[in-house]
Amino acid sequence: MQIVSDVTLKSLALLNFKNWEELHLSFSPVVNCFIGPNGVGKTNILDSIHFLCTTKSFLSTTDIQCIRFGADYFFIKGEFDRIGNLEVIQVSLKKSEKKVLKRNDSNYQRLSEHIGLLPVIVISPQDTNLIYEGSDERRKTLDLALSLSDGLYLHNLQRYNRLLQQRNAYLKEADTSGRVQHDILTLYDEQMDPFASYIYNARNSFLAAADQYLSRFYYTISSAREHCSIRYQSDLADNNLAALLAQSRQKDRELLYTTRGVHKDDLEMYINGQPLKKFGSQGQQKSFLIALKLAIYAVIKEQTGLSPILLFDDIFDKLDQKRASQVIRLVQEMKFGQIFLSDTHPERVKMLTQQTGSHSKFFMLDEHQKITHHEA
Amino acid sequence: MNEQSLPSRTLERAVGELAKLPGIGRKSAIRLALHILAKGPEFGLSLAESIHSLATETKQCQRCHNISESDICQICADERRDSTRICVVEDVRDVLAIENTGQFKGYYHVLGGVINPMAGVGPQDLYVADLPERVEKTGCEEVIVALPATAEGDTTAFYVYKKLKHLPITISALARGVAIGEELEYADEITLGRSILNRVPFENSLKI
Repeated sequence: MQIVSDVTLKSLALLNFKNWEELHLSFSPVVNCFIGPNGVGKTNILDSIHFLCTTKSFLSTTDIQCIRFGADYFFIKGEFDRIGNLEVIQVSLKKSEKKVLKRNDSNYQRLSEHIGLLPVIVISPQDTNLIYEGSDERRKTLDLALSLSDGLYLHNLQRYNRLLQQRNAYLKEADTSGRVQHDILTLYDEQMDPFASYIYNARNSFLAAADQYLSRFYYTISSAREHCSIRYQSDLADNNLAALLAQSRQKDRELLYTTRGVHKDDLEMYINGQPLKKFGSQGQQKSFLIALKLAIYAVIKEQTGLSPILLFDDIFDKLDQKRASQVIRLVQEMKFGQIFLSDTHPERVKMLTQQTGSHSKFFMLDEHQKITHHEA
Repeated sequence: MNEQSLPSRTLERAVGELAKLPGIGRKSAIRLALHILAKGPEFGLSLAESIHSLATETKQCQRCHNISESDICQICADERRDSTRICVVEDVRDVLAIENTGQFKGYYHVLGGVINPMAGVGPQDLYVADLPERVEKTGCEEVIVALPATAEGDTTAFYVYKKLKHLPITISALARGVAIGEELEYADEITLGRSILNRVPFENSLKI
């Protein structure tokens, strides 16, 4: 089965990106596998692809940490095919300078303009953070997904966050100076209100759409008929933001920050009606997270008409052979897009791609970062 | 990095002062100071004199808060201008920018900043309190709010609007849309979206 998707990465060039001094690769439009021992840089290749699509690392690294040790800049260049058009994207960062992002040789004025051009989803061992870390991890994942599928979302989110910062700064300033002007707080409440409504509605409908896919994908991955669901938690479910902020004004003035709003939103995950964090086994949690990421993938595809690039880091960390091939089969049946995956063992990856019978490219990395590749 | 000490205290002082200017670091300040020295005394004195008079002789217009040499600036003193319109701007540079368009013949009101609590700027730091009275007294019929399209600019515009909305005047804002000479493909989505929402009758688009 040959799938040529709407967005594919054709080639990649790296200079001084993380542990890669120099790297040039060209890819299959279907499946690309990076195979090699731990620590050799497989994940960093996936990360560089994520960087090209989102201007950020998916690992919790700062931009400056992406510069190879001892070097003073990094450079990533990718040639993408997007609905038949060639898009050449370059990102570079020099120490003590601003990150530069270019599309077809012209600079972006704002990095945020790039988000959404090349949708991408990453599934990695780090996803367990979604269960164990605070709500900001879950909002971050959700915000990226929405930014990729809705051109206005990121702008509205940035505006909201900026106004929120200003409101918090005003609460602190008014406390120090001992006089608070209520009309200033009202000003911020009313300014933030329409942005909060937009964000609430976007998150609500995105998560409702993702929820529809969740149990089905979970079944495909685990062969277990568990009921999986996600629930969106937001203050905005009760009332509009301006009214909420008016109610909590006294509390905000005491605590010196804005206690209610979409910046407090959360995503709750349930398996058979019980919280996943407490009641899910390790295996259930892993399958749930993959199902969730694929559900997000499906919604982005549904809303944009574009198949995102799928980055599957350390695929057998979460799955055994049988489940892994079911995931890949699901991905292909759903006409998902180009896949990049990484693993340590060549045999099981080859079995995986043989089962699916698609055009695959293998990149075998040895401990000296020497790459041999072949196609199947 | 250790700062190199300079051979003269006078030079050191000049460098210190120059480096306080925006966009000027210590290295550029040294380059400027040495350039002033090399050009000879006449050049340096003329520069010093111009800075001296800038500091002592310029005033702020009592009406619009623009830079002025007298109590009332040239624009406010020009009675041929359209007294029914006042354009509210952030600072003096915006007055220059709008004057350069030649499209506006009314008067200005310079706020001197935008509301930005993170930078410690509140409404009390802006010249906004005198605006309603000015509007009422001068027979103004329209206030054009021409503030930056940033979160701070929008917040300030909203604040100005709230201070004026009880008055029987029109309050308008600058149109936001696709730049002249810009390809739609490269226009950012937000601006292009705004342009579609706030589209204008075709006849209006023909005006130059």
